[in-house]
Amino acid sequence: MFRDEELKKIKDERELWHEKVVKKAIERFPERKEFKTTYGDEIKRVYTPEDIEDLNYSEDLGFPGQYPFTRGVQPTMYRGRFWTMRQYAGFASAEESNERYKYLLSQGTMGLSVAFDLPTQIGYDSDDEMSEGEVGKVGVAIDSLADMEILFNEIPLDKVSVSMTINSTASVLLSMLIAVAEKQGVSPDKIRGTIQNDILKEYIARGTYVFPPKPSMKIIDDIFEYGSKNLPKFNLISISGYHIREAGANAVQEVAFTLADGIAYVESAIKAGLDPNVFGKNLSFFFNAHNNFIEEIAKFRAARKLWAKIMKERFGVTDKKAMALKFHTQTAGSTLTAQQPQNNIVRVALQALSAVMGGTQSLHTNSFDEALGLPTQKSATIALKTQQIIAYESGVTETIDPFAGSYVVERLTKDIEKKAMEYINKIDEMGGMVKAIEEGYVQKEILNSAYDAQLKIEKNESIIVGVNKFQLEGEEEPSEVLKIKKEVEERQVAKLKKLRETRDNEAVNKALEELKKAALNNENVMPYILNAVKVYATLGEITNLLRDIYGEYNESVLI
Amino acid sequence: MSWENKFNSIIEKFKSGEIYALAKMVSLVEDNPDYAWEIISKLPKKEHKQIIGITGSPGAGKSTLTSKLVEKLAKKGEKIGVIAVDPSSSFSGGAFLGDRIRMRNITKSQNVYIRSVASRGSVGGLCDSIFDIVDVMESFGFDKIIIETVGAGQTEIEIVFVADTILLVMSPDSGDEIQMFKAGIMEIADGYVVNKTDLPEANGFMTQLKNTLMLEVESKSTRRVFGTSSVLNMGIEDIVSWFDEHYNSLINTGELNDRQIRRNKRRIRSNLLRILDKVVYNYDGKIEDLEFAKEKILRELCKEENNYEK
Amino acid sequence: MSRRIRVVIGKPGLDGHDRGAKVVSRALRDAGMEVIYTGIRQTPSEIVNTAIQEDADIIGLSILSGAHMKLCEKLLKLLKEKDINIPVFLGGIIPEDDIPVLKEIGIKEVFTPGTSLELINNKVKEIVLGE
Repeated sequence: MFRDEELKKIKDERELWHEKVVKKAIERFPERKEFKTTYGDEIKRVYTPEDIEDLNYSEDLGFPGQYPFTRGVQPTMYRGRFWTMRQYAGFASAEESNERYKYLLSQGTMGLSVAFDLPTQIGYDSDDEMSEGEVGKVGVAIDSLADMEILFNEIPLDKVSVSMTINSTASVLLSMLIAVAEKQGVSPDKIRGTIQNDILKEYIARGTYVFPPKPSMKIIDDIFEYGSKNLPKFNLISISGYHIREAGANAVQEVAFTLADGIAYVESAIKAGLDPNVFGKNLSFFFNAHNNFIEEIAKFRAARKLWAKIMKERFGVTDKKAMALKFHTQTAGSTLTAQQPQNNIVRVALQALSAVMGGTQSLHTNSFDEALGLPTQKSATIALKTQQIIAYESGVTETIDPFAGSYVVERLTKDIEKKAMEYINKIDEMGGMVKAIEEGYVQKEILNSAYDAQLKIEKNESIIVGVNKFQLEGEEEPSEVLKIKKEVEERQVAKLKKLRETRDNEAVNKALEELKKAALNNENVMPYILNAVKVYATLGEITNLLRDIYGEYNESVLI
Repeated sequence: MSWENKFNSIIEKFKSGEIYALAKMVSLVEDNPDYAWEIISKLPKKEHKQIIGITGSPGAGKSTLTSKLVEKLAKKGEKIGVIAVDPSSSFSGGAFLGDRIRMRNITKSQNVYIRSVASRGSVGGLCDSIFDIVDVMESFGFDKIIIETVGAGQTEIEIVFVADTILLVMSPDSGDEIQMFKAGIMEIADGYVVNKTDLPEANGFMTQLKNTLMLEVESKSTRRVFGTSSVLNMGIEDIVSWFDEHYNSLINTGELNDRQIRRNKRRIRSNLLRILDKVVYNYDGKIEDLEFAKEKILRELCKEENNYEK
Repeated sequence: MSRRIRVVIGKPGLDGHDRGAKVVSRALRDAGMEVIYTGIRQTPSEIVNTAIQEDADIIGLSILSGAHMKLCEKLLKLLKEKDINIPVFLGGIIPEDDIPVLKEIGIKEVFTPGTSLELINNKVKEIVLGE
């Protein structure tokens, strides 16, 4: 980027500046002790052209919408259309959630993001013993198509895009969505949205797995195959680094493990006979927007660049659209504090800003009270307004990739790319991501980072305002939190009981029997699940049937 | 309640088959190695039952295999005690005991008792109290006791001195096995399990293993090689029936008796070493006196040794 | 050898976020305790059985899903029924006004996000040695 003589001059001047100016300044005003990235690299006092000596504009950056997509996946980015403001929501039963969705849509939210309760995510009906106490708690409880019909009542599925955080039971919930759309008169090729469908990070970080990795990957291939043919506007997977970061990973690990998961999915799909040029376009990613503003911007850029290279060089993809890493972002839930919760509004705003600077395609901003419990309508509204203020008032959306060319951002972008690639190589050597997960390697790496970060807080090497510094004296006013009433579970169980009595049970048994045969014969299970869902077979019935065939996963934990 | 009453009440509950009393009793011998023999002497004496040791390198799938074997045995109605050993941290002395996680399928069974044990400074893949813990479990009346070793690899030969039947678990996709061949740990086992036979490398590995074992011309005709897949639930039945086969052959050939003698010797050795260690470590008199004592003991022992060496 | 504190760390319910459980497990281990971790998705009765079989000195629960009331009630009831006296502490996202209720039903200590590991280590030791 710079001529040699110019670099030489800068070096000389920098050394002189250090000798004559910095040293004296440090004597009078000593610096704080340690300056490090989350992945342990020294952060310099100042970055200069010397630090981006190895940067090649055309190869490393290019232009927005062009390979390697470092500067963004669309040519006009936010000048054409803002990111999708997509707030993750869902609680209690389908009725309450439907009401919240309609409210959010009226307030300017652009796409829905459905939070399911844990029994739904793990494939237990609300009346299952395992579901006790969990129904409707962290999301909405869905037992059958009947609940799904209520959830999307008066929400036109050809207009509103729907993202669903659902993984091991994604095939069932996706089938329910298709069935509801059909009932609304919307054909499958018109529905837009995303299913998370990322099972590998469930083994690593989030824990809603059901089956062992092999059959789980097989189901994902089934969804890819079915979706590539029937759901052209739908993202069939959201490969998620979000939860990996929440589990304690640093920025490099977030990029590395997410992309390594991505590689595993692409390999598996290719093995199953799918064309990466086709399904590559239906892949999307999901990242975390954490505290370190500059590092985070570099992280998003590095991830985009690295994925484009992987798709092109490793998988020989030729279609540019299948190389572009599109991603959703959520601000980091684990950075929210229970102490002085209103401070969280500011944390969320800064994190959201880094995601926008990093070129996100959609964004969820957390509610300030999430360290205390489920968000209230008031706190959820502030979270959404935060995004609107960034979009409409801050002016940061007018220039694409505004931090490009910043010495530090470009340096960190290259460093994160390189270090993430080192992890990916190591995982390749181990025999791939599934193996690395089964052996507990990935989980252990993350735990090491999480533990170190925690110790830094305890030694006051990292400061969290209101927690280990600037605490408020005396009692804080308790914040209002949303409580899910006991009746929700009772109501849901009663609803389910009634459904089992009134549906055509013969049709249910027949559909389940056919699904069983298909699963045993290694056929694509999607069409059979769709049939079962349509006759109101429950989520639990379908998942338990598959549980019997595929078995359940037991994790390996290394501490 | 006085200490003695408390202790007697635990013994009563232990005799009536209460699991919590068994657990307390295991802790008692583990925490008080010097008095373990006294505690054990108060427990009912039962007939010796088969002790099975399961060893192998990390990642070979020991815990998962153990849980599948135990599941089968428990379903047949046998009462099984499992001792799962994990390493203690040499810095803090604490330990993370995580084997149970992979044994979820048997934790609910009424017939199974699982005890996680930390190595507490022992380096042979077990813990120093292992003999005492086994005694306590034997007295409780299990049909089989299964010990899963730490699984740190090559130095784990201590199990030879504890178990009647030793199963070595190997995975065809790990380089560690080659090291085991070299380190001679291969010789300690009675049964060899090649886990993960669903992997492509498995066949070649099995052949190589069988050849190696054939080359050692020993009269150990009871040695067997098994292929299993914990994932596919295959080969478990064979091992389970071999357990009884092997135990019967130990009885019939008199080998069981030899192994018991070997076990008792090792136990006495380990007790003596522990006590000696404590005495030397805590000694604060003149070093010359200690030297003198050492020489005296050695002289006595050498005399003894000459008598035994015949 | 001195007696070591044995802790059972359990994650009852369906919540799979185990960062807290694992970080606390490591801290307790590094403080010299023997930690038996049950893994995620355990029923209260599985955790109680583990604590019995392992002769735990204390049980620690980690719950972030909001299901803490029901799960704690159930677990404490089981201990009571079996007449077993093992103290129980809880960590996770627990609303302020639930804490006194939890303590009333028998939870010894509640740790919310931001609690230092040192404090947890000390409290665990304090509770065990006080029993």
